[in-house]
Amino acid sequence: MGESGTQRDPFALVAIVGLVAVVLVLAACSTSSELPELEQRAQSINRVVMCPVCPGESIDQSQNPLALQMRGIVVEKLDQGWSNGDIYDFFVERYGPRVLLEPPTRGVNLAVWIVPLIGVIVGAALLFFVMRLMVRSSEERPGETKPEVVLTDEERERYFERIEAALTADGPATDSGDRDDEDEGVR
Amino acid sequence: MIVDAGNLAMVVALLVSVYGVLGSFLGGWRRSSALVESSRYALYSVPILLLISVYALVHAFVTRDFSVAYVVENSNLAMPTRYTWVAFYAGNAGSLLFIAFVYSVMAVGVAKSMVRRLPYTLPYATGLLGILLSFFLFVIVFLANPLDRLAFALPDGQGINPLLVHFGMFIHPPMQMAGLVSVALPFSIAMGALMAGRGGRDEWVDLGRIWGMVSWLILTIGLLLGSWWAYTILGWGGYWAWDPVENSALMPWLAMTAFVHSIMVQKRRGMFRMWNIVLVTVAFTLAQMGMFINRGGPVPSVHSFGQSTMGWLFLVFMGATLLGSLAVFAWRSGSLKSRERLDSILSRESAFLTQNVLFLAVAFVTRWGTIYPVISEATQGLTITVGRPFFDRVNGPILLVLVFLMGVGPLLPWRRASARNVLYALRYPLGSALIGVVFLLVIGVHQPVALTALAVIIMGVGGIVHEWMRGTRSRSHKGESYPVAFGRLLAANRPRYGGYVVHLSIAMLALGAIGSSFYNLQRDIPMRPGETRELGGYSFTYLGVSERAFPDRDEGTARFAVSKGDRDLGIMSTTRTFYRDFRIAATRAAIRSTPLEDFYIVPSEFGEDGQTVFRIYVNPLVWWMWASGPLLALGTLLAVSPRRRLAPAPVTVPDGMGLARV
Amino acid sequence: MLVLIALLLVLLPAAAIVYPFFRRPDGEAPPDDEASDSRDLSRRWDAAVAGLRNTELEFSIGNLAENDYDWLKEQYMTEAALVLKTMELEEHQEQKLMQDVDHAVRGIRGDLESPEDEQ
Repeated sequence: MGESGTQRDPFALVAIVGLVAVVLVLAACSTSSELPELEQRAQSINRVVMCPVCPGESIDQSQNPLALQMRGIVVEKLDQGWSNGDIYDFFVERYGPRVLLEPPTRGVNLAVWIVPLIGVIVGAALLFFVMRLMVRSSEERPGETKPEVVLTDEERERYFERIEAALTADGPATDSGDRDDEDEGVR
Repeated sequence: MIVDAGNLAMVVALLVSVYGVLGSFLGGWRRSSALVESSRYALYSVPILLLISVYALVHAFVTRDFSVAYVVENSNLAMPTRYTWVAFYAGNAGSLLFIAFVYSVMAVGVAKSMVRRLPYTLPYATGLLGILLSFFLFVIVFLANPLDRLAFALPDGQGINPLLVHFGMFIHPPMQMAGLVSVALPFSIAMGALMAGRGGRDEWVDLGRIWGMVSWLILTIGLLLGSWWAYTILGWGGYWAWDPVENSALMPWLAMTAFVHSIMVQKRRGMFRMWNIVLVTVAFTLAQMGMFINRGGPVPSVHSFGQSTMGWLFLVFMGATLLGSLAVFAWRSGSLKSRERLDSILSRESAFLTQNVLFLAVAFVTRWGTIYPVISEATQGLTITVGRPFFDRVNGPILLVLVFLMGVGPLLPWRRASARNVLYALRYPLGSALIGVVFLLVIGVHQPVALTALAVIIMGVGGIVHEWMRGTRSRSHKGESYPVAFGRLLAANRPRYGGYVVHLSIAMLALGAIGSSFYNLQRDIPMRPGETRELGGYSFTYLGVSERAFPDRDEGTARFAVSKGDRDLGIMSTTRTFYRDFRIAATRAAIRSTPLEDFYIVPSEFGEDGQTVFRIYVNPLVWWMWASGPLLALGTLLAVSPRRRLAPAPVTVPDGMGLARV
Repeated sequence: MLVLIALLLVLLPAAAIVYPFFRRPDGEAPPDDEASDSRDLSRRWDAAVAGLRNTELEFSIGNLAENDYDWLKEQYMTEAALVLKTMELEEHQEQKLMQDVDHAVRGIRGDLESPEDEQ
């Protein structure tokens, strides 16, 4: 119903909008900050390195003397031209891999990252198939209406009138007759 | 003497509550209405008794009664009077009493609401409510009695943990604890209904939804307050660290958010009957786990009440309730077939189901990240730390999809929708997102992830505003003015529009999270008195530090004259307090908060030569996070407020009309 | 003094607990079972009405195509009508039952009274 010529095809509209949005987002360049680059790097490193004697705090968060000392080391190494990875390795050598708040992306511990990803994919697939199953089985509908109660056409009309009247009397939720003109396109 | 009265009241409360449990179940099973009523009255008397105990404890604090061990452990003469009123829930035993009291009040509310509407479920629900209450009272009376006396009164107390002496800290713990325990309310209704054999016809869903939303609201406020407290007091400019204890409070919230949505499907269509029972049981189990971790589980944290062995008792109790729930579920699951079926994959029902799965995915990821260190320790002998970066990276996208769903979901009609029509309905949200993206690019937001996230938020908000406008306009055709039409629209569709208000507040929350995550500025700046520095457009002059010594602490207050551009913003001061007895330093940050951004100063290290390192933050949009709280509460209240029902009017047909009966 | 308070603390709850056992003979009707058919019909009615209202709302704001609107309305109206009819049938049945009982009672009374009338 209502596939008139004035109807703009919503698929095309959505596709265009989506495409433009994606292009814009991708074309965006990275942000510039008022901090010098080394300092930015130091901050991001500090947020990943954990203070070994504080429970779960990064050296950025913690005020512990050891944390302050480690922050100093980070700055020193950055000045010397070390890469972020080298600095991480440096701390790992001294304190073990637990000193990094971010689990490693190499080796067997890649599992930390993989398992959630697999979980989400499996979950999504499961959800889709379960829903499909539920819709398929909606062909036979047991329902709980007493099977022996059925409406004749005449009854149907009578009841519908009564219900309609009761609803309008109860108060205008909204009246379907007042649809805005610009929605004509969907009919 | 009043302490003794309080003590006795707790013991009586325990006895009464145990009677209530036994009487409820027996009375329900035997259909003895007298026994059921008697047990209900037993439950009603518990909050009154506990009020006496609470009063006794507060009285002991206010009168500095140092013959009570707990008062000694949690206060001292130096404590300002106003704190003595609330210090009683600072420690383990007192907080347990507090939770028991609040819980008993809520339980009475639940019981009363069920008397007329769910009379056959009521005994089982009160029985279940009573079991948890009895457990708390048992622990209080025998293991952690806040009213225990010392052999003799001490001259002074030890004082309270200094981190707790802050407004936020007074509201957050009680709210959080109340939230966790309140999950028992919808659980008891649902499981009680199942036990009573009254789960198969959605009898419990109306009240289950209402109490579920109440519980959800308390949980949300508790979490928000905790974040706010962390932000203003802990001094690292952040509000959520995916700390194991924070996570344990988040998990039941995730399950309850899923629950309050899927329960709507059961109310409308009689579907998800089994699923909702499972969901609320999961939520309750997670809430108990949260309480366990709070009471001194295996995880050391700023949250735990110390390494007591009590935590393990909670764990055992949790295991028992889980097993019991499974047993009841297995016994009654046959009665839980859905009344109706899913009509289409593109429908609001399936959007809700998807939302459920996503929330559980976040819970799964959070749980996985929390236990992985244990796994890696066990399998490799190596402790891998799974911290904030992991959770941000993995949960971030899932939460973003949820925000997207939050915007799109309400556009989906019940039962079925055509893809064409959904896309058509999406035109305004998408359009506003596009305009939003362009606008953001123009004002300098270039980070792709932030852009995407903001676009999703704008889309969601755009959809809500769009519907509000159309709905108002449609009503105003009847001659109502716009404000009146809008008001009537809200009043006539409260669950829907209450839900929209809540969604708007979540959008505000997300806005705050994105602004402060991607665009925050942070710098450690050493300064001497008189020096002026700049960051993020703000110019600040360090005026100096004034020090004050108190009996129990040393306070150093640093003052700054702050201006932005050519506007003088006045003086901001930040205090660092060192508590000598506890050897803890607590900081109160100087924060100037506007909807646009927060300017935040916190001292990092006080040097001897007058030079101090200050950490300065400019955190955009954080204000929106806190502002979302009140709006969220309003939305929830709107959504649960009852509407006058349209009663069916069956016509009594006189004999002889010959009703056709097929 | 403490003894007095102790007594109160024990006796007052005890009184509340014991009270229902002594309060029986007012013949309250048993409460309406939430699992009863009439309650179930009531819930289904509410759900149908809510569905109808919601459908109207969504149609008026443009989220619903006309064919979906018609189909949904049909579904909900049919459900509401079925509920109404079932309610009426049950009430009719109940009425009939009451009438039959009434007849029977009158009959018995009539038998009892007629010997006296002959006096």
